Amino acid sequence: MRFPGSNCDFDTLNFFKKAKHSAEFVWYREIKLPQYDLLVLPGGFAFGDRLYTRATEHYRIDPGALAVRSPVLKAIRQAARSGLPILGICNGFQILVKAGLLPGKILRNNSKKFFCDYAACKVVGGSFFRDKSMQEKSFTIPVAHGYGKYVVSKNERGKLERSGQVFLKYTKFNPNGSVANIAGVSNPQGTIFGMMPHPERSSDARYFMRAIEKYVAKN
Amino acid sequence: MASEHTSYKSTKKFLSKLHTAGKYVIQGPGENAGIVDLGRGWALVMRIESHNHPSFIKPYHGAATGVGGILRDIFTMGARPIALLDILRFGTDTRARRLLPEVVRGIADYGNCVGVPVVGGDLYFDSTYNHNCLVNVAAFGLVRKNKIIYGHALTPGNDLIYVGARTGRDGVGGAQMASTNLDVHDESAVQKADPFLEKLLLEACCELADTKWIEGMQDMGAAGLLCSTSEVVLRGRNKTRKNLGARVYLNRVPTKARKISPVEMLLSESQERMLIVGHKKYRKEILKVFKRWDLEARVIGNVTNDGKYTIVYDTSSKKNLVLPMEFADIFPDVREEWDATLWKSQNTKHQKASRRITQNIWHQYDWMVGVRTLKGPNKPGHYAILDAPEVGKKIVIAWSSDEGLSDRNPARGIEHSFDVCKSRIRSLGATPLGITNCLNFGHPKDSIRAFAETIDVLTARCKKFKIPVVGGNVSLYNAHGSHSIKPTPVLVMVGVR
Repeated sequence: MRFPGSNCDFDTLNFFKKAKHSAEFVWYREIKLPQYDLLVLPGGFAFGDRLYTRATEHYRIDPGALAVRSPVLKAIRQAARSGLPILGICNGFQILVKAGLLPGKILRNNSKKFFCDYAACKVVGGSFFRDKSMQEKSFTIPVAHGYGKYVVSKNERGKLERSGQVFLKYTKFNPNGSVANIAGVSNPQGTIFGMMPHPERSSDARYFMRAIEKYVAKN
Repeated sequence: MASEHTSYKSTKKFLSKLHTAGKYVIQGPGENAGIVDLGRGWALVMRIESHNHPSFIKPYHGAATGVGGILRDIFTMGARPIALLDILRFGTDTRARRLLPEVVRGIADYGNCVGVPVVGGDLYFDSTYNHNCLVNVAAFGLVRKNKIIYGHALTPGNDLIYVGARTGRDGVGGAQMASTNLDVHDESAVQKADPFLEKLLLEACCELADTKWIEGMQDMGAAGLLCSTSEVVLRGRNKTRKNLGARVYLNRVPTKARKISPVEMLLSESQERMLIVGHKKYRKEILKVFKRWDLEARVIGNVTNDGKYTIVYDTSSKKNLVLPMEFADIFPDVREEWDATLWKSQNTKHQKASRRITQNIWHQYDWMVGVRTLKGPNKPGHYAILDAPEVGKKIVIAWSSDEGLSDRNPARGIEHSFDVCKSRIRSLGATPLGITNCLNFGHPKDSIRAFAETIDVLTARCKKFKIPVVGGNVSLYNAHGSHSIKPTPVLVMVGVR
């Protein structure tokens, strides 16, 4: 899914192309999608994190707000209903949460600043794309965001943890102040995954790719 | 147009001495950016620019527009920006402590949103910068050699297309401001930054650079509409020897302020605007690309063959202005001479920022986007290594300043920074391709001699080691009252391995 301000678009495309998969951009104005095995919402600033009526005029900062209203979201919702796997990375995660396809909310980092560095993360719960071999393993994955603080109510957090929907947690250091060090969550059905860290930038990228490949092959 | 910033009137005679030729040079100084050959059909575009004065007055927007301007310099040449550097010098007083976080936030917000990683930089504190902080930003881009776009118009009848932000009163007289002492602060002369618009422009321009629809592109940076439209035609005249001219319809320029005067329109420095020289028969296609990227674009004029620069303000011909295209007659080759007084050492402490401070800074930059950063700011050392899978090579960038040495001996300072860069590139097993430099000096009345010495030594070094200067920037008048900053030459050298 390519929005005008997606800036990890090429990085994410190359992540799949390097693994010899055919990947292509879907422009945010598309309404119908051809048959795909996986949809990915890449990182970046979809519409500059803004809400506006015209790009050249006034705006308000609200990450994901405009992306949620873009035509392609209709197609994404439909795909989600049909059980097609969807991965949202960074800004993509923000959009999926904003659209209500994933539970919770994403707020500004506690530091009120953008933060970019490597972050140690551990795969927990139902694992990334349900890949059991990744479970409880630690990976170093780059993070880069200003709005990455994942929050849910205490009740719901317990529910998410019990059902295994929380699949990724920061271990050594929490870069944004998210609840219970949560770095990634999935929907209850385990078809939609959102994460703040960037697997496409990681030197451990191959593990994440293998998990996606296994999942797609099985379904 | 006759300000120091655009005409280099005090420094031209020195700059012409620089060693600018070499076997890897595709484009030397004189265009929007310098270009060196990387091999396998690819080239590296590079440029450094200072935004010292605006950053002191309005730190956030000053620094952010500095990043915006330099990125436009890169993508006007058809290149996709791949990296940024920020070279910062701040004072030691409380004001400096307030300015620094805002400058960093400005650079971060802009670079992060556009999606260009800041892969390195450095920061020094010295009381000499108390009234003049230095904010130098370098940018690099990759372009296919056969897709390089120049800032020229060659064919009469072609369209002059305006695209991007609307023209407002912001920044009227900004280039002028950057060429005087910082005693008078005029906030309205600093432009506002809009990184998301820049991202849209970047994508649209990169898309167009890949087509055969356009002939040239030019950033509407400092000095604005007048400079950009006349510059593309002047370059075309020099290249084609044809009697080219331009016709610009001011009533077609999109404006955001009401009742903006024609002079303001011509001189406005509103950011995130570009001038496209488009082939007339592809007008529809070009406008369609801009529309796809949500950008406002308008054909505001055309290239003529009457040798005149015609400004049409409104339909009544009385208000129109026709100038001969021999601009040299209207804007004579101004040169200003200064006494070459010896530089007086200031002997203040020149201190490198602590690791804690620099870490807090680079954490705010997305230094990994693009997945090229092999050595970024997370590891110490004034160099960066970028992956260039397009050519199967690694790009090595080394930067260095004089570390305060120029204060005692300007010749020694530049020699030191040249040698540091060169040995860094060599020690990493790379071949040096070229240099881009930013020469930050004080008021010419006490600094011009130091400037001249710096150029002389740099030229001698460049010739000796056959490393050319492919572009750069001069920032004079970094002074407050009778206090000039220490001479601060900044060198950025690139190599490939």
